Amino acid sequence: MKELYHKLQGMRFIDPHIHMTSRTTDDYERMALLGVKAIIEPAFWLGQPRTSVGSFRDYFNSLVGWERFRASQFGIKHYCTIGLNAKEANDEALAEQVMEILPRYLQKEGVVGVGEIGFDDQTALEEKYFRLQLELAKKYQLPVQIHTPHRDKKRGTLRSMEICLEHGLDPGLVIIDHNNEETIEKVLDLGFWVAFTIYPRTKMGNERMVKLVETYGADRIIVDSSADWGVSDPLAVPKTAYMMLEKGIPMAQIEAVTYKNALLAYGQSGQFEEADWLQSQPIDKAELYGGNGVLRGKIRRKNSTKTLLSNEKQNHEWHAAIAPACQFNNLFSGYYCGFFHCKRDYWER
Amino acid sequence: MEWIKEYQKFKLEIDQQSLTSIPYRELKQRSIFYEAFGLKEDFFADFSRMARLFKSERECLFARIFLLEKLTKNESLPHVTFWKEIYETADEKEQIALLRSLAIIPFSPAMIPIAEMAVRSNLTTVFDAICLQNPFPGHYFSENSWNQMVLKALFSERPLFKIAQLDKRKNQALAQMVFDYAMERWAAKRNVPPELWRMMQQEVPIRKSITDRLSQGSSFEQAASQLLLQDYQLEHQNIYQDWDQLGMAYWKAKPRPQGYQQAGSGYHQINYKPE
Repeated sequence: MKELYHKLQGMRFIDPHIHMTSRTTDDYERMALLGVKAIIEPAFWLGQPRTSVGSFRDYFNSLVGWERFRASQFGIKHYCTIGLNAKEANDEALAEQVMEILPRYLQKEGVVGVGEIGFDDQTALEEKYFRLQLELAKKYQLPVQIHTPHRDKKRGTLRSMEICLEHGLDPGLVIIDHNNEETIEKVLDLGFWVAFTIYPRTKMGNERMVKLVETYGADRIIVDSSADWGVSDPLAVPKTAYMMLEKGIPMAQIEAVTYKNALLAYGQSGQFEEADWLQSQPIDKAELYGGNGVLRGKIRRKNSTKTLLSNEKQNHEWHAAIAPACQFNNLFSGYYCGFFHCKRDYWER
Repeated sequence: MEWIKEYQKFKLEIDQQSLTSIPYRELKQRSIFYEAFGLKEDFFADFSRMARLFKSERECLFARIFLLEKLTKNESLPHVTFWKEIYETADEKEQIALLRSLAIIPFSPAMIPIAEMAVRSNLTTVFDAICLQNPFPGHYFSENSWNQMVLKALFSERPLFKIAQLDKRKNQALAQMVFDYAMERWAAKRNVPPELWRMMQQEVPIRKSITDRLSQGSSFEQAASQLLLQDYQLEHQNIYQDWDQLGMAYWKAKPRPQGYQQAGSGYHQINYKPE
């Protein structure tokens, strides 16, 4: 962790596929520490099927409400994609009701696409709702985030892409996720975005990912963690960047696959802009206190160099007082954690 | 309240701006539609879409309040189901707009459960929208709901002086709860915000040991002890004229809380700060 942190200093990452609802605040803390600036949380299933449309509504609400707030407390910008996943599309009565509420959520602020949709068992019902949701994406001019099946992956991926083209979707607006060595070529050929999920045990490993970038370059390739309630790694994106650095991949390529490509792909929604996290002061509730700042404008930088310097001094004093309890001490055993915060203030400046 | 004045100004601007500016023009058109025809399914989409039309957060908030205000002018509106439906499907900023609009829109009893739900929210921003600079709770909350709101504001370290009608709605039950809370904090060797003592009332006897402890504390606590003595009509020597001034000075001087803040933790005890 210490080595990762030092090596990745000053780098920025986007994890365009991560299910934070299933993760803890420790994960948020470590992600922020390693430079993850923005995340996209696709609507997925919860490990077991839901039985009523109300559960879907509450889940979508948490994606645009509580989870967004929770992330903001760690200085991470949270976005989401909304959709009916393939597994639960097989419950037709329920799926019909979910389809009815989707448009309302697709038009909300910070919803950057329709997702994650696609195939699981590749049934007729899955196909039906996949097609209906592609039409929704067209209607609202949103990118589509496609989940490719675990089983019969190659055929499922091809079929997903064929259906997208059949509906007249621009491949530049479609992100095909969970690819592997067998699918990458075809997806690139057809002009879609290719996303790779880095999983500790299944799907793609870091080393294989490095090889792929060495072979195919960085164009239209995106790395994500897809971390959820299973064995998975919320730090997969920064860790992959670290391994690429070690293997001597050029910085521009690393930046493309771990930050810029995701920004380009989802930025097409008009809801996902770098300025959102670069210009807004992270975790700053101070404006709530002074004057009538409750209704604050979006783009206002308040910290002058002078206040930052005095903050830095305060950080030192403050950390000296609470150092024994500081959780960062676990991460950097032997390091005075105030060091990190001061550094961070320099970056912000 | 400043923001209400600003909102009124925004409303005046709509007519002028709608000639030249696309977002303003669209907002005006949509609002005329809802005023004439009442709630349609499209409303939820339009309510959300304001964020895409207006880039500034403040304008977006005002535009949403404006839409709600126009919509509720239509008498055919099913109030109870409407408020519930819209609150339950709103995202963070939409909820904030909805809660702020309670201060603008003519009162309906259906609003009360929504406001009370917002007080229970885990999102500080949503809680602030109903609690701070909003006249609604002061006018319409029952004593119990009011007391819970003030206590939660203390608990999650919100500036009390921004709560409307704070002094007018003081009551003995609240004074006792707040007093117990202070004792609990002191027993755990945690600090107590000086504004807390504003909630005291004569019915709750205040021992000399308390004013003594305060007068040995920070400059704000010393000022609080003086104001407290004044409230109890005992001998005092004021540093600040009233509780509002003390509150304002205290929150101005307080270092910025940063990072993860759990309600009731007190940010002095927060032991990490990711950014």
